[in-house]
Amino acid sequence: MSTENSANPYADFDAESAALLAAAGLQVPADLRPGVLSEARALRQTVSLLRGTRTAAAEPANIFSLIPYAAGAAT
Amino acid sequence: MTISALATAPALVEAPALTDLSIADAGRMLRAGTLTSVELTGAALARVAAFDGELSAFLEVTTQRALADAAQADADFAAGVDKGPLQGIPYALKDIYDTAGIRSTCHSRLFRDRIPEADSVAAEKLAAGGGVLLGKAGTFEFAIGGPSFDLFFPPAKNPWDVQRSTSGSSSGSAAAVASGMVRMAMGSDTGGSIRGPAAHCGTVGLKPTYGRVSRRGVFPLSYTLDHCGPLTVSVEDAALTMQVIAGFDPQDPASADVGVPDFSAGLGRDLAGLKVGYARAFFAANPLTSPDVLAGLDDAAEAIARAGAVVIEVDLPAYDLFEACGRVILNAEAYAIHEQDLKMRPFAYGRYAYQRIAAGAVLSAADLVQAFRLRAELSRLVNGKLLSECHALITASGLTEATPFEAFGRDAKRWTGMYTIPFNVTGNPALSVPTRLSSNGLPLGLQVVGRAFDEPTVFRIGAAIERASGFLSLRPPMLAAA
Repeated sequence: MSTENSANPYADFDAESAALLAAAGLQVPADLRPGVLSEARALRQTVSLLRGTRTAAAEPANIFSLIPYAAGAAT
Repeated sequence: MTISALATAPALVEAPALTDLSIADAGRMLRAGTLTSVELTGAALARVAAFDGELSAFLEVTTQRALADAAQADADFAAGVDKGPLQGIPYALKDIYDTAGIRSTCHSRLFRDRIPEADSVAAEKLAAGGGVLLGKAGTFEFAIGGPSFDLFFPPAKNPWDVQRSTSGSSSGSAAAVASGMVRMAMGSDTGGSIRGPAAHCGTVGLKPTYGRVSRRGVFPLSYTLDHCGPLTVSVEDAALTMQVIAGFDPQDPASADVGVPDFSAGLGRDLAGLKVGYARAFFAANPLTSPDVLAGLDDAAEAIARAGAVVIEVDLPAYDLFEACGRVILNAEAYAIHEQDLKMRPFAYGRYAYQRIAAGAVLSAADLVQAFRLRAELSRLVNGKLLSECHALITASGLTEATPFEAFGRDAKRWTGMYTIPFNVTGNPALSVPTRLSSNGLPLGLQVVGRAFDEPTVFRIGAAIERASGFLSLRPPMLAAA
């Protein structure tokens, strides 16, 4: 582990976040970087809570509707 | 603040009695001819002139527009034209609401000189209802980046302690209402930005049911979490405001085609026949919860029972689940909205807005889909179980009192202490009502959460809490000192 990693226990995690930001095409100004990484850390640490067994009732399948375009529907 | 036209405003002598009038009382006097809207507006402008230098509630005071609106309201009253409960009543709009011909900046350098051609639907309805637009209230930048001192205008201060934040993005709206400049100001609530400022500034704040109030013409933060609603002095003020702004808008994809009820129908009634779930463990188990917050909730639960409701303790799913779900959706949607500007104009943003929104880029598509799946499950647990057994729930709006500005660092960090985002996730109506002052003399609040589209019951319970707490008679010390 590098000296930098010893000083910042999140260094590896932050490096991953920096790679994700770069992959998204964001060139984060150096001066703004600490806050972005802090926010990214907080976000990424919560996403494990999203995973779980769900039923079909939880499908996000209702984000658009064809009812207004159904044959015979008023236009 | 732009008050260049104040010198032309009549009745600028401070008139506390007028600024303390409820919307209903002022309406009665306006209709009886014992008060004019021009007088009422003059008192409001005087209050702005007296306190806004310290509070920075308004980005822009629309003095000439206000006086014109007031004169029109008086002319309409004289002609027997009654446009509804807000006719002749001064109000403010958070500056993410578009206003035709009036700068609408989102408190951001990106939009500093932006002048929309059309009103947002809410602004349109308030104008059609005869309201008097007093001005555009400050916000956290794009309703997320604040409290910030690196923008073109300072953040609004908490009227109960100007060294503290208002707690949430409808900051100028809360400061304007709490200081008596207006009885009502429109806010927006994506993770709690109506209810947080309401709780910590001692006002009422309603996040209506998702789909109840049109969001068209209000700059989005998160398409599926954004709600438009009012901050007011009293529960009755909020109910009367809802009568004007609620309704189906076929051009807002989130808008719900449901009937508009009489929002004031339950005010003043006891709570007999209602069952209210008290989600006490939901917040009390968090070590951040202050004893004052807990005592305020316990007192309110007893008051609700005394008013005739059956109160039972209920368990909600863990707060962390709601927060993970809400934050992922909020950040993903906000990033999508701002993606191009974050890439092309990063320095046009304030530090907090850039840092909070840019972080959304680290989320994966799977994260967002999983958040939507969890959201469906959380909604089913809250609506299909708890709120099928109970008519409403009560829980804390926040765990602490308002945060001092000095506690916010140079860079953004995770915001803790608010318990509002669960009901952005589920979409239920949630009303923040003041409970008491903390041992430091700062306002605290709770939220009443109702069944979907059942704001009247939420108001009925909120009014009972308001009567029991006696908070309506309290004013920030700075007003008394003046």
